[in-house]
Amino acid sequence: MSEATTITGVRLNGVTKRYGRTVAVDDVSLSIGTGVAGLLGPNGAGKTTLLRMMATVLAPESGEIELLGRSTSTAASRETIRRRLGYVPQEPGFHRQFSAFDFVDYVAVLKLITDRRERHDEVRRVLDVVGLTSVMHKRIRQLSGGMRRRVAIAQALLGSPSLLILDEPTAGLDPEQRLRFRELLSTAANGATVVLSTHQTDDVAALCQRVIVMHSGVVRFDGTPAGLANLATGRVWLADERDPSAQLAWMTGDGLVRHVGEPPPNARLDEPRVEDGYLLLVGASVLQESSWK
Amino acid sequence: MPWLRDCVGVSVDPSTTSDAQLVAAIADGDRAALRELYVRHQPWLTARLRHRCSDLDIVSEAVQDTFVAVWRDSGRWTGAGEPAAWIWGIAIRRLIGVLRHRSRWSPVSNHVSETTTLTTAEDLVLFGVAHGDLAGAIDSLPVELRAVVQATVLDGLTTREAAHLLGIPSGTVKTRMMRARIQLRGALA
Amino acid sequence: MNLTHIEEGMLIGYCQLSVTAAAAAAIEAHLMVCAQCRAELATTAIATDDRGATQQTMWDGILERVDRPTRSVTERVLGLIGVRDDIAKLLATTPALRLAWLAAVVLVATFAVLAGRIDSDGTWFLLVVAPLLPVAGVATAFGPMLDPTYEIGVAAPMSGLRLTLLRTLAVIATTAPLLTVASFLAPGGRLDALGWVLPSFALVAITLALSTVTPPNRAGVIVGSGWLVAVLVLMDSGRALDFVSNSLIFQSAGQTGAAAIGAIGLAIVAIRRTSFDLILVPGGQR
Repeated sequence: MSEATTITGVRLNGVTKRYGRTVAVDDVSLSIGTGVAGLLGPNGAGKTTLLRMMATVLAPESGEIELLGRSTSTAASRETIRRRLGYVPQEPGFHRQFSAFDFVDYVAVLKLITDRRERHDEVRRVLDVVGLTSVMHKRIRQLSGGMRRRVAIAQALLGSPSLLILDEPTAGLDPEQRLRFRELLSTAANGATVVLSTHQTDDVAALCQRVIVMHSGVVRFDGTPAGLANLATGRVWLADERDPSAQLAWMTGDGLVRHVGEPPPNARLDEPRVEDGYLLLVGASVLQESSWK
Repeated sequence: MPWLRDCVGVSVDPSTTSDAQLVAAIADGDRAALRELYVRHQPWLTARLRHRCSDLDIVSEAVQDTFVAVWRDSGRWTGAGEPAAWIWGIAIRRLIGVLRHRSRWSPVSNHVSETTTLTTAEDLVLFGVAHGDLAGAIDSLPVELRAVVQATVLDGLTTREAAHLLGIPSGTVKTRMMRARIQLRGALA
Repeated sequence: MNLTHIEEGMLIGYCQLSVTAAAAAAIEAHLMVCAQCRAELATTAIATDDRGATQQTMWDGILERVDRPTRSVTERVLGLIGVRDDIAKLLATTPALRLAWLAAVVLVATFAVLAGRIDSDGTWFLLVVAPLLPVAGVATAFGPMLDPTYEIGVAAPMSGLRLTLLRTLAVIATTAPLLTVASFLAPGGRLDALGWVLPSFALVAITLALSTVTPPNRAGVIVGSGWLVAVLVLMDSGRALDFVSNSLIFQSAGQTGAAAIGAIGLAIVAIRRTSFDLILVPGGQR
């Protein structure tokens, strides 16, 4: 991984955040440069807490956070960072009586673009980037879920930020919209540091130059998507039948059973994918989660 | 960067969407629908307004006003009748509005184009309008009387509105209308 | 429907203003009912004169006006009284500036006045209820539970304290005048009936101070219940009829105390002002 030339977008050093007795983020140290970094992990892994700290809205209990070369510890430096920050929180809400234009305009005011003309031009620009120009005067409550997601993304693009923090931006998008989101992000990310969280390993494989796997508040992997896939090299097996003792095995589309881990009888090795590496790291808890459903 | 432009959920397919559906979509704030309505109706609106006012600048302004008014008032469209007629009703009144705004109380000939006779009244029969006599009678009217007939009878304006459109006092509209009636009656007798 | 349509030559003539008035009238009548001929005219018009550029300019002009954002009633009223456009935009999301809220305040104030008219010394209702209204307004004006864009707002460079105070001012500016009017309408009221002013100030300040550690709607509930308890405890005889003179709060000592508490509340807000720049995570983990 090549480091950013001058200023690193995100630098965390021993960052910890607790809620009561639960440790949400446990002694995390990271440094993320320009490009798209994906944060992968099961629910409750601490992704949202970590992203909130990267978005300056939550202070760490201990450790240091440096964003765009500035510490987040003082109000003044937070303000400076926020001028160059775009943030899409998990499940962003809207004032529903607002139109898409009104809403983004409102955020633009919060982002201190005071000149009305300049502000409106910028609002139109970001709405155009996410392809909502033709419905920008519709009330948000009339828009579909996917469109609302894009309204949320549009506000984050105001002022072309150098740091973009997106908490599950692809949740609720259909497959085609996800494809187009990838297209948009690769353009928006040009020269900026983008950190996004997701449940989708294929988003990571398609979008991210860097992938960070979190589990129980700890970073379990930090590297390239190919590197994550390589974790499973020699441990992905295809068999005709499911091995009853297998911890991680599922039926694929072509009727074969994919096993990750110990080889089942009569199996042959297969090429590892990002999700195989991810499942190897956090597999047990993912299985637990799915058995709850 | 066109993102999702093709699947923005707007139902503007020129071949299948009716004018009334477009107006309904515009009421919901759909800009693409306004664009489609503009593409469909701007040409004839412009042409028709040019028959009422020879100043192209004023006509353009009135057309723009019309579509802005359609955008803002589309919620008031009742859904009854032809949207084209509704749009025309807005357009002719916007034209009057622009004329009043510019307060150009100039002579009739400035506003109303001189129509020279190139085609004969018989041509009308070709597209199913079988009132050759009336056509001839209208064509034979002096231009200032014809303008009044056009404004009040064909465009359905009130005397006041016609007065604004033609840039003449209301009283004059009334007297000219009377004179026109007498002449038409004579011609059709 | 229309078996015959307008000939192209006629359409060209119509566009070039070279048909007779009668022909023009017939064409116009037909155009109103025939989409096909309107479409034909569109191609003819483009072919006969090069107004293509004009058409685009006209459309741009329309878009420019269509995209001029419409402002809500609240924003327009604020604009009229000289509030800057961006600040009006911020305030437009404050529930206290919506009609429903104003209607509620008017209703409560009216009820207070009526209660006073029925019970000759009945300003007590106004005195007890009036301080709760600004608290309710402030408690619903911002925070993680009631502002749907809370987290985006915190991540924006605008100061959280500034936003909070702006909205608080908006609440006071709408509520206080209505309550003052009610005070003077209440019989036997006059100056005595203004006894709610300082307690209101104290309660709002304490609500803001508490909002630095807990969501404002929760702070509002705490402060509101605290107020009702205080009023009851500090009442000497427990007789509503002599309430004004009997409750300590509405005597000079109580009023001075309220002012002091208000000042302390504001001091806490000033000291803890940066907490408005970070999110409150209610109940810890989600």
